[in-house]
Amino acid sequence: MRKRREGFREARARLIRALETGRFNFEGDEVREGKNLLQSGEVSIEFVIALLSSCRGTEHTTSPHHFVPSSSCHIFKPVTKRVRWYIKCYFLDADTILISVHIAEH
Amino acid sequence: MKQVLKEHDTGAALCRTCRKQTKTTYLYRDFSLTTPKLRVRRVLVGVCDVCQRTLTVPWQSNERIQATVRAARARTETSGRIEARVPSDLYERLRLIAARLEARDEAFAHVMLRFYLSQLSRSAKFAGRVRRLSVVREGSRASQRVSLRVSGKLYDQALKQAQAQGVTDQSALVRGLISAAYEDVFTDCSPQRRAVLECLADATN
Repeated sequence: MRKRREGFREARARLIRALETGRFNFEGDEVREGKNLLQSGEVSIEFVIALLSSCRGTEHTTSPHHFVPSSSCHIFKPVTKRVRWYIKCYFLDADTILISVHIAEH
Repeated sequence: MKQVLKEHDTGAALCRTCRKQTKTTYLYRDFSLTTPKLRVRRVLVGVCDVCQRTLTVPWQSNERIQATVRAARARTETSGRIEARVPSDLYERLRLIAARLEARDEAFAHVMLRFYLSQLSRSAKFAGRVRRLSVVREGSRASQRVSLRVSGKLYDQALKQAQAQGVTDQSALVRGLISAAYEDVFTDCSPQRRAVLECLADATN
């Protein structure tokens, strides 16, 4: 079950801060093609920060993490140049783990 | 200023194996990629304290992984591949050369063939010798495969020189190179080249 606009401003600010300071991790033990364009070097940190900065509260949702449903992920779907992006992450204690950065499928 | 993690720093992540939030410790591990297929040695990653699975890749490690990927792609784009079929007696000669020079078979054979390609690209006289030696003996069947990746520059120069001397296919080229090396090692016709081969054998051991 997805909820809308839960902690949007805090989540966005936290993710941007993590990107700016390098205090973030990519999830997983492999680089999957097309799944995380920041991880594969196809987009820059600055580009993702710009996407997040333009993201509105209505373009943010949360959802349960797919293998630990008790934890929730933040999903940002900002639009730039008529293209909708999909950015997914979760926060644990002081850590920020980035799961996805790619163009939205729908 | 970006944060830089070090070995034995700790963090937290969701573990796919344990199916819960776990503590992680940053450790150096080899990191394998599927596209392009390569392994990056000693990358700092977040490892689950419970099951030891790699859970996270910090930003700083990803920079290293991407630099390795870029270098590998650049190497692939600018390199050429020599593919040849050679008779088994020539393949045996490759092994005999390595044995005589007390070198490791496979590693030495590749380095030696690159060296001979380099010699060929620099000398029309040597290229002519390679052409003479590339002639196939009657009844010999090309049953062994030799594959060699070389820099794009060496590939272009060597093939250009070989073609100028009438060596038109890669199998003939490799036959000539192996035969020339065999002569150099077993007949003392070129003490200088033999000395270089001895150095290469030492370097690859």
